Amino acid sequence: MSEVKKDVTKETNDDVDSVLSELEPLAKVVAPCLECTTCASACPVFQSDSDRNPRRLINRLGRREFEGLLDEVDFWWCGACYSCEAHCPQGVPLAHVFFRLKNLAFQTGKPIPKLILRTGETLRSGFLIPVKKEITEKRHALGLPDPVCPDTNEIETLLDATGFSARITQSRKLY
Amino acid sequence: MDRTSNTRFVIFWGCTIPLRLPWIEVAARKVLPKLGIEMKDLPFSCCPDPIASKALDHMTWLSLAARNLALAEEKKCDILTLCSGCFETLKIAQSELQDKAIRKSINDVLKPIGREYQGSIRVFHIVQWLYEEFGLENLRQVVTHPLTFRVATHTGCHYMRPADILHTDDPVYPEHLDELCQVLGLEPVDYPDKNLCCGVGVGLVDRDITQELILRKIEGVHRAKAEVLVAHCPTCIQTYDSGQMMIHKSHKASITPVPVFHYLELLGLAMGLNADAFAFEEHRIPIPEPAVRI
Amino acid sequence: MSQPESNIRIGVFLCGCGRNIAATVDIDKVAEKAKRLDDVVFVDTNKYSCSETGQASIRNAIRENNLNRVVVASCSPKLHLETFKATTVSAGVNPYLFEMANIREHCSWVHMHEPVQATEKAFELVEMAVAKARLLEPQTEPKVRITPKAMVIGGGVAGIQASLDMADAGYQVVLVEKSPTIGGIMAVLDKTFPTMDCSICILGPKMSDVKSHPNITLMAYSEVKEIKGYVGNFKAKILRKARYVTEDCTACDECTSVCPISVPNEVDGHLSWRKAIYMPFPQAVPSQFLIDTEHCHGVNPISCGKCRDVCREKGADCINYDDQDRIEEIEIGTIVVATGFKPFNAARIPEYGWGRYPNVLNTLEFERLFNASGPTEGHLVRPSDMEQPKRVAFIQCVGSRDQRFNEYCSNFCCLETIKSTLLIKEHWPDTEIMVFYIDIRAFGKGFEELYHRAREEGVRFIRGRPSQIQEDPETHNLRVFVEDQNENRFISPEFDMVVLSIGADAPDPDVVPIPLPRGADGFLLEAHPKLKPVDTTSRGIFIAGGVESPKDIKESVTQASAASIRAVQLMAKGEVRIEPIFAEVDASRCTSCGTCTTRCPYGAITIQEKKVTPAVVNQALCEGCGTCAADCPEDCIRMRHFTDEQILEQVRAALKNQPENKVLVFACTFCSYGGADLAGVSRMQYPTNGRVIRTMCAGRVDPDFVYEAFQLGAGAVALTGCHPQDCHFISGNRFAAKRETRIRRWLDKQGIDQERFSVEWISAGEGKKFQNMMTRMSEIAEKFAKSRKKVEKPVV
Repeated sequence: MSEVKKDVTKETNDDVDSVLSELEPLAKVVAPCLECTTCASACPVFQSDSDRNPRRLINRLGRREFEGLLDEVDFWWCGACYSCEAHCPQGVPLAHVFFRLKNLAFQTGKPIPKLILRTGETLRSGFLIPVKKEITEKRHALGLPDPVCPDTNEIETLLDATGFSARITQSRKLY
Repeated sequence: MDRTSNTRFVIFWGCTIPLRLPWIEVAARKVLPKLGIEMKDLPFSCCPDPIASKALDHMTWLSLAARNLALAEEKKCDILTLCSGCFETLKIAQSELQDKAIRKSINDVLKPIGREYQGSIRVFHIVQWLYEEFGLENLRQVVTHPLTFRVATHTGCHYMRPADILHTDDPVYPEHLDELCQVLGLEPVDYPDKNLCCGVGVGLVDRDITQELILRKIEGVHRAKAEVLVAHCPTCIQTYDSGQMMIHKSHKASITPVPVFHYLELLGLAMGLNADAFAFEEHRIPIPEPAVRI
Repeated sequence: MSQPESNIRIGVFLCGCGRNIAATVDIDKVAEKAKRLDDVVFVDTNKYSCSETGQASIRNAIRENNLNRVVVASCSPKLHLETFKATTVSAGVNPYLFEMANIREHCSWVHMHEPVQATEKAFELVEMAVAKARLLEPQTEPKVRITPKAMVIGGGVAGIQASLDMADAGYQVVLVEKSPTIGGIMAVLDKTFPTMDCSICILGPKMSDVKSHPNITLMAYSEVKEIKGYVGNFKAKILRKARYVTEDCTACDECTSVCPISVPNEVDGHLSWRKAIYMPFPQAVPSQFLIDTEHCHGVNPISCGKCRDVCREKGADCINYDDQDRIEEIEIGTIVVATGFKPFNAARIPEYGWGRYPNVLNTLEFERLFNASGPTEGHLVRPSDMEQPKRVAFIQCVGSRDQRFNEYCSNFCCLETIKSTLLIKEHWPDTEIMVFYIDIRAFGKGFEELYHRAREEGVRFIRGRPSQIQEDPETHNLRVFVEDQNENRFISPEFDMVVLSIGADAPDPDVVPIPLPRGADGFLLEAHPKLKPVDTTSRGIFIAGGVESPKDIKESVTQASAASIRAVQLMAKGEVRIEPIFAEVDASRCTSCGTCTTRCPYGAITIQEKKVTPAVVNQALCEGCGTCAADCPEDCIRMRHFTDEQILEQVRAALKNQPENKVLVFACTFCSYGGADLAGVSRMQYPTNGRVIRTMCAGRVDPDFVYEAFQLGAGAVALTGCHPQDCHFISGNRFAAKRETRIRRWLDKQGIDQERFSVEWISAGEGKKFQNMMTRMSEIAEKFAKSRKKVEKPVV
């Protein structure tokens, strides 16, 4: 597991070949999969929609069918509840793998779901939810102080330093 | 009462509580001091959230989390969160930052903003703190007005998964919240889909699935004849509180909405606080009078 | 110290082992270099040294060249030490003048991609073996009598079979069983696969035979508390628990009707009740009631007395409140451990609802429902409403093939379920049955045919492992969440009853009162996975049945008979030769400090408290671990065949060239050396820096050996042995561990990096752990070699 964790903090670039090499460690980490299907029946998304089977991409990775993998949209359907991992008898870290695929898709400029993109944009204000006048007023009415906000300069500096802001702007252009 | 456990905290409110569900903050500010908790506020940012933000860039996600941890570390103060999502983010970040090489590269990102994280403070979730540190025995002693209705508990996902990092409750069949409810006099029931995720994560790409999951959960609650749903994650609470109203209004399905409480509200009532100490009117699904027996 | 013979003539025989060694190690090159070693007068290579021709050529070479020391460089001594010792003897040379170099498991198989370094290492291993061989002395093996009596621990089908086999061969057998009756799991099952025989019907006669056999002493409701001694001469202390009912009991059952206490019946999986005075099941052997004192009001007339009263009324008077636990001591020559496996506790998988939902059962509960002498007299009903289930699901691999619980497959569960489905169909053909599986393992005789029959009868097999079971709070029906892999669809079919096909858990750590090595899976370890499946590394102690690994009845019976003949072989000889690896005290230098007596777990070395006399070793009791020798402050204890000088010469030979690159490993014969072998057998690759020195026990390793190694410039040193509770010599590794502090203090004083010395506990089943350690220590040695610090002479 620690190999995947260490992995996910490495930075990646647009180069397709280097992306394929990023997928190799993921193929290794899913190798123990017996295709027992426990993850699928544990997944609340698959329970609702049989077209979104978490096993499908994991098994593709395991077979090293890397071509076009990042163009698949299924991994965006992972809601990060970790039920799959908690039930997997072989310890395959599916949700971690899906996060990695999402990260790689973002890094390599693939289109990302609108709501997630919007979240990324709002993050630059320091919060997931913009601080609007209505909420401040509501808080006062309830006897609460103003929300404590972070220094937006700090946040923006940080987001610029990691290349996040630039990436977000690029992704927005796809729409 | 045994007060050897840590009670000096900086509160990590997150985004959803202060900016969407301020009534939870109202409850917390009333109840936490009664448990002996010293509260402090710091200019945290979004934790950042463990679903959407984490899906974009991991290093950015980890850097923002590290900044939040560094803020608390500077004040040499442990963090107490009231949101499962913030809890998961900060705990995972802490775990990853134990690796020297990773910590160094993140601290390099924090340097220009004058922050550094060395890995010293602890992070608690309020439910974890109540169960592990405060303890059921002490909780029993502060309950002066036991509540007596049937509750369906919803522990959710991010409170105990991924289990190899969080180490709080059983990852597939958690029962701590049930025990915490029993101590208040409540009767937690076993119901179908008790451990079902609220579905907010997948709502970022497909709202229909979220609605289906909400419906399943509420049907299960009704089948077991529970009167209220109690949770401790603001995102789950919002999903059920607002979500049920949306389904109800749009007539997509006919369901009798089930009122949703944050555990701290029930704890406060059981500790003898009056109903008007809280902001029950802010709940989207009205709280029926009999449910609030004092 | 005795001097070796002045005219040493060493013969070195390199084995190619087909391509196993020869493919990586250039044995001709090694042979060439070996010729130039001191005292080596003959060197030869062989393709298959252990074969008839190979052994013959060695034999001839010994005779023709008047060799008086023999070194064979081939596979692990754990495999062929005895083979080549016999060859040596047949050539007229004492077998203790023979030494082996392990250039296969420890060389060619683990350095497959580095032939040059492997060849170099092979030569150095040969050089080490030659260094020891030079100092070897002839030994005579003392003979000890073998008590012609066996003890079998565990009265399940394996224990029963072993007892009958040995008793029929004419030997006295004591069968000790913990529970009140023999029969084990088999006695409570309904039918057996693949023949669908009634289980207790085929076992019952054997159980009676055990009771009535003139050569078998049955000790039921008894536990072995202590075992001392050695092969052929074991002494055991057995706790005979009080039943409070005499052997005159006719099992008339009158007492149960008056007993006021009801307790969940463990035989029926807690699906029914029994009284505090009870007989486990009708066919129990011995056919005798007993009182469960944990739940009885109190075995005295003041607390209750009803059972005794009614028994007296009926004229039997076989209830005795004055019964007491007692200890019985027996002497036996051999022991067969057949204590079985533990059924997996399904409550550990909370998402399946066992223990929470009344209609979720495990296999044993299901068997009891079906059993005519079970709680429902054989009617299949649901616990929640006593109605017959119309839809039944079976879930496979519960607790098995699961990293969170047990990695292994439990062998019998697939066929157990297939059999159960056929039983249901036989009686209630309209029942809908679904079996949810990952793989169906139908490997045995008649198994595939039974699987075929089940499918023909309409049992549906769905490939998909369910993630959870949910219960309808009103109907108590169960919904199984699963992916139908065929359709790639999520389904949640409803059932009236779900049976969890539980697997086997490893036996408890304290199942026998002596440490026997276990594999990484927790089951007792056989001496060799292919060739010695029922031996343990403790001579005279054998294993059979579920205690060795999960298995069905046929395989348990097979192993039991195998263990019996292995035990009979020893007992039939009447005497056995003891390995002459014991301690000797140099009385002239002994100061009677008594340290050695505190190191010996066998009581083999004694000292008279008041008199200042030298310590004395009882050679029959001494097992040769060497712990006393390593801790003797005067260094006046000598271990035969593993002397200080012999070990130090190996250290010196190993570190002669480029010591800074080397990792010197001390490994114990029964565990860590075995782990190293396993790494080799599994072809786990690691760097070539390691040089293993074998001792009997980690306790033998004197800190002086470690100091010498570092003084000679060793890059790294590892002290390895059995896991803390598993030392083959009981406490040797514990004393070895204690020396670590002393050694680390010395390292500090010498300015040697702490990480260059490591203490590791590696079992014979942990090849991976050995590989990891070698890789890690090699990196440390390489790091050191690069920095090349000089070691000063120690201030000792």
